This record gives sequence, C-alpha cells and structure tokens, in this order.
Amino acid sequence: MNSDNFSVTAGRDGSRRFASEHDDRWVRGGGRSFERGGWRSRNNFGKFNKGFYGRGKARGRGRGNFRGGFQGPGPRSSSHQDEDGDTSMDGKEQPGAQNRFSPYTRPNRRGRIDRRFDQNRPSASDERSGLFQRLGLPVNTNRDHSWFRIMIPYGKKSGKDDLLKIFQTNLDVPFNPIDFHFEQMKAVFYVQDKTCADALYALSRKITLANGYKLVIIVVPSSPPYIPITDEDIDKLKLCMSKRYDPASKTLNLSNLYNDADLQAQNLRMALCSRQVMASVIKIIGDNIPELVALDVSDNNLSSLDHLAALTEKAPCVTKLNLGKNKLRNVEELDKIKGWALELLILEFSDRFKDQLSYISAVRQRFPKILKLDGHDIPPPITFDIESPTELPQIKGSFFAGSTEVQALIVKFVKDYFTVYDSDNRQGLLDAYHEQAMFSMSACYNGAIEFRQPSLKMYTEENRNLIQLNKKDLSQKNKLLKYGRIPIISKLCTLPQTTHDTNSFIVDVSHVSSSLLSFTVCGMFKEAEKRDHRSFIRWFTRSFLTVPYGQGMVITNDMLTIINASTEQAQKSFKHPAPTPNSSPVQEVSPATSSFETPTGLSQEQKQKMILSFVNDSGMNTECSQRCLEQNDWNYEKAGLMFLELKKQNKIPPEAFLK
Amino acid sequence: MTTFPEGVATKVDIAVQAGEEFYNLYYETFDKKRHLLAKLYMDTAKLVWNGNPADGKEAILKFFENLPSSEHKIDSLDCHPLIDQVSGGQMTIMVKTYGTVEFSKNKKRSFQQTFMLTSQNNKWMIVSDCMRFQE
Repeated sequence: MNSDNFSVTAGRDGSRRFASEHDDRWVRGGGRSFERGGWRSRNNFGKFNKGFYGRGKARGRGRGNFRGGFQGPGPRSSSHQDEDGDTSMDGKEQPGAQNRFSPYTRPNRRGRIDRRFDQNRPSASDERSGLFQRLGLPVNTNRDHSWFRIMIPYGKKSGKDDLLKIFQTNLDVPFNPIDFHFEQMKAVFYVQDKTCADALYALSRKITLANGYKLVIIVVPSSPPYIPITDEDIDKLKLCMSKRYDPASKTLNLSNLYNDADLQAQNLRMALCSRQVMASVIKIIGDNIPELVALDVSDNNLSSLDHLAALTEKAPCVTKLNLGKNKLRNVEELDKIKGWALELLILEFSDRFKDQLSYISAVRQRFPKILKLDGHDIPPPITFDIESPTELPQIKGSFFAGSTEVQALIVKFVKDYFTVYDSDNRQGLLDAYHEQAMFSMSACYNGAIEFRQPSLKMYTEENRNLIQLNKKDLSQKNKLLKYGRIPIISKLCTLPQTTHDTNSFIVDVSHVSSSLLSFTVCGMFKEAEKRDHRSFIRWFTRSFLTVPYGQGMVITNDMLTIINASTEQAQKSFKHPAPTPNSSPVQEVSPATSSFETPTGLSQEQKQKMILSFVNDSGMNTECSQRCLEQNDWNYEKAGLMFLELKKQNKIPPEAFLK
Repeated sequence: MTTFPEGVATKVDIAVQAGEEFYNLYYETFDKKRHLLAKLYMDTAKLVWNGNPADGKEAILKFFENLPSSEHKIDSLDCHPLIDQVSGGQMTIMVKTYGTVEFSKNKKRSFQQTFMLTSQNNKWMIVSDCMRFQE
C-alpha cells in the first residue's frame, strides 16, 4: 500500500488535499449506498473530465449528499429526500440511475478509485463490504495492517502539547498517536486505525488556530513507522518464536505472525513485513537457532525480500523455505536470498510464467540445487565438478599489526580523541593535529540499503566526495580540504554534536614505522538531537595518519566518511554504553600521560597575568578571556589563534566584549 | 576558505587527479582481471582485509585469488597528499573509497577502503591497503 493510490492536488494556500475530499460527507451522511455512487461519480467525472453530461448529473448527487452531511448519521426522513428528489439515490432498484452512471463509474472504480476507497475509507466496514459486494467489487476485509501517516504543515508553530490537546478534545474516537515528531516545520505522527485516520482527516480545515490559520491535516496511508521495539517486546517475540520452533526438524514456522494468538493476547502486533520486526526476528534466529534448516514465512504480507536477505548469513543452513501467500513483486526478489542453497521452495508463482518449464528455470537460476518447487518434485540438474571459490574469508576484529605497543598507543589515542570529540567543545583537539595537518569529510548514502534512508543534508556543505563533486564546481575540491590546525578545529566545531559508541569501534592498522602510523577507525555514532532535525545513528570510518610527537602522536591526515547505518547496525549499537573500546584487551593506560601535549602547572598568578594581557589583546572582557584561555589549556598563542578564527567567522557573541 | 601554501596546492591537485584515476582502474582490474593487480602493489605492500593481514605482494595476490568473483561499485572518494615530513619528499597520497561490493553475485555489502600510494619511477604503487565491510 502506498500513497500512489491518492491523487493529491495543491491548494491555493500551498496545502495539499486529496481528490477524495468529500470523504466526511458520506461517512457522516445518511450512509445510503447510492449516495456514495453518486458522490464518487462526481469526483471521477471531475477528475477525468469526462464531459458535461456526467458532471451535471453528478453534481445533483453531490448536493444531496451535502445535506445528508449535516443531518447526522441517523437514517434520513423520507420527507427530506422527497423534497430534494433524491430518493433515487437510496434504492438500487432504480434502474435509471444505475444505467446512467455505470458506463463511467465502473472502469474508474476498477482502477485507482476502487483501491483508494478500500484503503482510505473508515471503519463502517460491514456495511461498506455489503455495498461493494452488491456492486460486484472486490472486498478486502483484511485491513489490519494499515498505517496512516498524519502530517500537520507548520504544526511546529502550535507545539506538540497544543496539537495533541486539540485532537483529543475534537476527536470522538480513540486517539493514539505513534512516533510524534517534527520534520522541519511539519508535525508528523502515525495512527494505525482507520476510524481515527478518517476522523482526523475530517477535522482538516475545521479548526482555527490561535494565529488565525486553519489547521490543515494531511492523511496518507503509509508503511509502518520506525519505532524501535523495546527489549520487553523482543522477549515476548522470542517466547512466541520458541513455541513456533521444532528443534527436532529444525523448523521455524512464522506463518501469519501478525495474527499470532499469543502475541495478540499481550496486545502485540508483529508484522513480519516491517523492517524492525524482521530485523528482530533475524537477530533472535542468529543468536539462538543459527542451525535453522526449514523456515516458513508464508502469509505475512511480504512484498519484498529486502529485510529477509540478512538472514541468509545468520542462518546459512536453511534449505527449505515457504514464501507462499505473500505479495512478492516478482521473481527477481529471490536474488536477495540467493545465499541459501535451497532444495525445497514454496513460492506459488506458477501463474506468473507462461509454462512450468520457464518457472522452474527461473527458480533454478537462483537456486541450482532446488529439488522440490511448490510441492512438486523436479529433476536434479546436471552440474560441473569445478567450482570457483564462493566462501569469503572470515571477518575478524581489530587488527593492530601484532604489536601490543601499537595497540596500547592507538587505543589510548582513540579514546582521548573521541572523548573530546563528543564533548561540547572540540577545541581541545587542537593539540591532536600537526601544524600542516589536513582534514576532509565525505558523507554518502548506504549503497546496500534499498529502502528510504535518513537525510544527510546537514553534511552536504562539507561533503568532499570527489565522485559527486566532479560534476560540480572543481574549486570545491580545494575549499573542502581543511589545511592547518585552526581551520580544521573550527570545521570540527561546526559539525553536528555527536556521541560515539566506543563498543562498536574496530581499528585496523595499515602501516607502522618509526616515523609513521596509519590506521582506520570504524564504528557507530549518533548525532545530538537538534531543533530542526532528528538524531540518527550512522556509521563512520575515519582514516588517520599520525607522526610521533612527544609521548604520543599528532595527526597529519584525517579523512572522515559518514554512511547511514544498516537496520541491524542501528539495532546493535548503543546497547552497552560503557565508555571503553572493546577493540582491545589493553584497557587501562595510565591516564596521567595524555597523548596530547598540554602545558600544565601554571600558578594562579601567572594565569591572572595571562588573562589581563589577553583582555588587552583581544578586547574581550575578563570572563570570556579566561574561558578562552582555559579552553585552550592556557596556551596563549593557541587561544589567540582560536579567538581570531572565531572572530573572523563572527562566532563571538557581542556581549563578550562588554566590560 | 582554505588557502594552501604553493607547494601544497600542487600536491593536492596531483593527489585528486591520481585518486580519481586510481579508483576506476583499481576496481575494474579487481573485478575483471584480478591477476593484473600485481602491477599495482609494491613488493613490500601490506593488506588488511576485514582484519585478515597479508604481507608482501605475493601474499596479497594469493589472498585475492581465493576471493570469489566480485563486482564493486564506488559511491564516494576522497584523496589527500602526505606532507613532506611524513613522506620524506617522495610524493605519496592517501585514497579513501566507500562503495558496495557483491561477491559471487551474492549479497550487496557496503565497505570502505583506504590506500596509501607512493610514486616510484613515475608510477603510482600501493604501499598499504586496508578494507573493511560495514557490519
């Protein structure tokens, strides 16, 4: 299900409305079957512009409905109907009306209108099903999976509390907003209830806000929202899965998981087609039953195998798979699970192929070892005895070039570096960089993910991805490479605030010599929540080139790349917020010897002198001068450079100069 | 706006140019004629592939030989020159790539790779190569 089923037009005020804007009328109106026919015809004619005849007729119907809309939901008195001449709407036994409309309405209903109807109409489903059946339309009674994304343009102006209060007071149906958040100025949340979605929609433009604007509410059907599943729910899911697992045959039956009685009894709905649920299921399988041989995921509304694909690695022994009763788009979906050497498959795709032979061949292309398809035996294929390597070498943890000395040095460095980097002031990193150091960053969408990814907009300006820049301005290449300590630090200070998950860190040392140490750190981090964007978990990889300096080392090259995390990564990270990198058994290096050289041991008197002289040189007041010196570890020259740089960028507030 | 001293600006240009040429050449060779990679690695080159080390050109080539067939797609590239103090005056660059790779047409994996390249007799040679999947 997706929003394609709607036709959206932009109103004059820039807001959007759906073609089905008369929704509320027939919901609240008399609720008689033919009124809907009339209303729908009207819209269809309007939309497709089928000519004057139809439109004129339909308009008459619309008017009738309009009245109905104000009369409330009860059955209408016949006198009103008579008066308006609208009785014909009521009875399907009126042959004239039916004849007039059928040539136009039928084809449209069969197409987009019908689907739209089915998804967006509210919950008076029994009655409606009756209508649909009478009209010979397909009835889909399985509406449980429907989610709706509700958007309030400029909702931020009203604020979350006010908006929710408005809804709670104006809705007469249970209102349970999920994942309420703001996307720029827009307030966004989800509801999983058609009645509620429709009631919200009916409310659009009915309420005037304090600022004089009408409250516009946009409702679109959507995929389930991204809500992290709680550990408690995962435990329940685990229990449910263990009941569905047969250890003797190593068979896991997840058929129709959404309607699982046990989960339902606990008020839990797990739709396997949702990315989070599938990821949790995969994790549970990987952790508990990686020996799985047979898997049944039939009847789960799966339209793609994107999310199931990750299981091919967690449970590599699966040879029997049931994908029946799903909504898989095409046979190419199987490419995503080619990692399994399937012998038995239930796919139920035979009607999509011209003959059985081409069906078998399409499946065998993906699974050469297939023996049974949809319950039928198929002859084994003839193969060659030579096989090219298919196994990847085992993926190992951090590599420190076999030297505990290097390991200790790097672990300490990484720990120090990211502690300062994650603090609210990154200026302390100044001493970590060489005079002629270079830094650049690039950000890139995760090429292995096929679904929608969080935006990387906040990095666009700094993005030195030479592949993308090629097409644009060449001078950017130089501009985005930061050279020298001050430009680097001021750049680092403008990047989003972060928290790194040091447990996720993996370090690879690629080059060690007496004059040079080169290594790459990979791991997870999340951005701090800010007013105009949400916090996302992302993957970073940072390649450092360092040279020895004093007791430690300084960075000469620093290349940062930021990539969106995969679902699995996001789930795994930030689980154990211990601040020590697990990349090393060498944990505690004496904290007294910092790898950054810092002049210490100044007396109070010397500090006072320094502050006074800084006040004179910078023109800032004593307090700000002191802070600047403190932040730069009482290095006068460094504090001065930092001051000049920040001043150049207009980042010093005017009150700093008030004495 | 960063302004480089003159010598640095030239080096940055050289690094960018070399990096752009290199990543096309390297991944195409890797995917289609892997045995020719021998010409790109120094005899003493070092490889760290997902935590597995290989020391010297021969070991690296042998390691690659045992990998399934591959298909790389590169989405991001960045290059830096090394400063003289580090490279000892010999033109050396770092190249960092990000992209996806499919081994034996299996699953698409996202990975990052960092190379150090140095010029020897006017040819770029790989000094070190460090590759890691995103997982």
